[in-house]
Amino acid sequence: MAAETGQPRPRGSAGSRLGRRRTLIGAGALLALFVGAAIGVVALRKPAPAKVLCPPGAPCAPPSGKPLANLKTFRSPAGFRLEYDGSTFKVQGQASDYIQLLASTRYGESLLWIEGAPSSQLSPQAMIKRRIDDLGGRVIGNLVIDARPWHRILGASVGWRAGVGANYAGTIDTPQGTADPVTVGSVAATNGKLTIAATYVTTVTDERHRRGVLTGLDQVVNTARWQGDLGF
Amino acid sequence: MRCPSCHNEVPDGNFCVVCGHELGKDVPERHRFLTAVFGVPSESLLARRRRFAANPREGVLRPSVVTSLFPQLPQSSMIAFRVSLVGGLAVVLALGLAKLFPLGLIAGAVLVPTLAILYFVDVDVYEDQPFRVVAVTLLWGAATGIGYAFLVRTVSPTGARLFAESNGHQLLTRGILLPLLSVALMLAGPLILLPYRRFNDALDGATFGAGSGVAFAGGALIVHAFDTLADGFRPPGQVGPWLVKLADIAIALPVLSMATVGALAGAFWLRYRAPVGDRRALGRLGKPVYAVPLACLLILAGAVIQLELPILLALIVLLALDAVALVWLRAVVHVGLLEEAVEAEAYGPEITCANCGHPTHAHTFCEHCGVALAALPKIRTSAPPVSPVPPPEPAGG
Repeated sequence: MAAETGQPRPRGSAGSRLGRRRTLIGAGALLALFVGAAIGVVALRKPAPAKVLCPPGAPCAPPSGKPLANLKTFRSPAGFRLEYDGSTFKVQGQASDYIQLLASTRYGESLLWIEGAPSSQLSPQAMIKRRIDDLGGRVIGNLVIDARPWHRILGASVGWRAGVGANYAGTIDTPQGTADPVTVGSVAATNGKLTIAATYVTTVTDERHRRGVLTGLDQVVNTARWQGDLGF
Repeated sequence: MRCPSCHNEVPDGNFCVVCGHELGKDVPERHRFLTAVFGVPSESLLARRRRFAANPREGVLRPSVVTSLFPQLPQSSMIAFRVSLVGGLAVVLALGLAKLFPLGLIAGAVLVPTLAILYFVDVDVYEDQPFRVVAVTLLWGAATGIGYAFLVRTVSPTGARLFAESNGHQLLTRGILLPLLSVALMLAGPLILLPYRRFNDALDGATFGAGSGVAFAGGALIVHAFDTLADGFRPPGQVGPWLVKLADIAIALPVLSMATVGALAGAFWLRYRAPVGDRRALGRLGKPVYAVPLACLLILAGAVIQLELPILLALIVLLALDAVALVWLRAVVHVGLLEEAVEAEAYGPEITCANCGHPTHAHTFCEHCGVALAALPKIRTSAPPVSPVPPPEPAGG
């Protein structure tokens, strides 16, 4: 066995250290290792399956109305108003025809976006489409219909006025990489003159906490009143 | 015989061992484009030699991924890296097709960094200072990439608030300020090695920069992807856009970081480590005063197009940016290798070229395949030292 001299072999005569076979095995093994780790993390963080409390297709959620005392009021010159709990929601943005409310918990963030527009310009369906298309620009591809049965919107309404609505889902996309998965729900209703749409975006994935968050958002949506409504 | 390009007396062969010119052919027409646009001197070797010094089968201006990012691989290893890259991408896309998006994300985020680690090991790029080099390239890149991702989450919303943020604010933070910061972080680690005489050629700088860049991209992408792992194995989403996103993450984004920062670091090495006469060899592309804005522009453009363009169009533009960055990196590597042609003065003994397996005189280029011998792995062995033999007398004046 030759003694170690530490002298360099003439440059160009030394081949690679690993060789073809070990390179392929190494690349495959490292990739498998990371994918295996990802499988473990996904399995650990996977949200628990939701317990379906109601029979399929039938609305049975408990009444979510709450006394309207000590709540903050947003009045829109467009012709609607709503109330919200200032200790739970922070105003993220507002203008004459919309307000954005943000609720943050340790389980994630939820944004509620309530807006109004003349019904002659936007029907409830068109208003939902406009908002979903706009929000879809910030997720991978676009928002897709959330087909999970326990995410279905049953009996869509705004301010106790029957309307239309649907749930969507997607994953946030940024130039720095992908981010949280989100679920988005949008409901809209009209009194014939003004269309009001309420759209929520939440990153809460745990079904138990998500249900609590949505109940809180629902309570705000239920306070919406059109100009001319009783109690406006 | 006398080389028609460098006018040295060189051994008979396919290529000149001194300048790498293909013997038996006239001196090729010069790269007028490089001279006109980037100020590359027409007499420099970059403007005269069309074949890439690290892989003479390809031209300098060909944006090949593996030969540009891993230039020191011998031909035999190159195949294994190509297969690994293509196979890895196929695995990522297959996971996407199976709607296992979170797994595809992680596999994509680690694909190119994994190959970079194997490359560092394979070609012994760190020579006798493994800890220092790995620490300020791969480890620095990974650590700052992870820190950067956490900083991004602090200064710019990633949750529901993101949907309330204006486009202008997003463009400012995620399209301009954060990408600029990322360039500074990726470059800072390799620059620590700039004062060391041990690492004195542009190829070293390019390798360190590329290592830092790809580790940074991998670290940041994994931290961001971690949030995505919270919605089960098959979160809702359309397969088509997800496949495009996975291709972004697996190839387009890491290649952009790796090639851009590699070329930028190489430009610093060329400016501050190369012999004075070689510092103009890359024209404006080799001067940090031009290279820094160009690198920032490439990284910024990569971020802005992801914000502003539809996902498929963004991928196409990202790949075009990759091509620009790869060609820039190749030019830096090429010039770095050609520098050594000027530095080497004596022929060594006859050796077996690790690239093609044929005998050649130890000098700068293999006389059979034309590869720059400095582009091949640096392995220290127990072989006894060899004494250089003087070159034949140059013919004529």
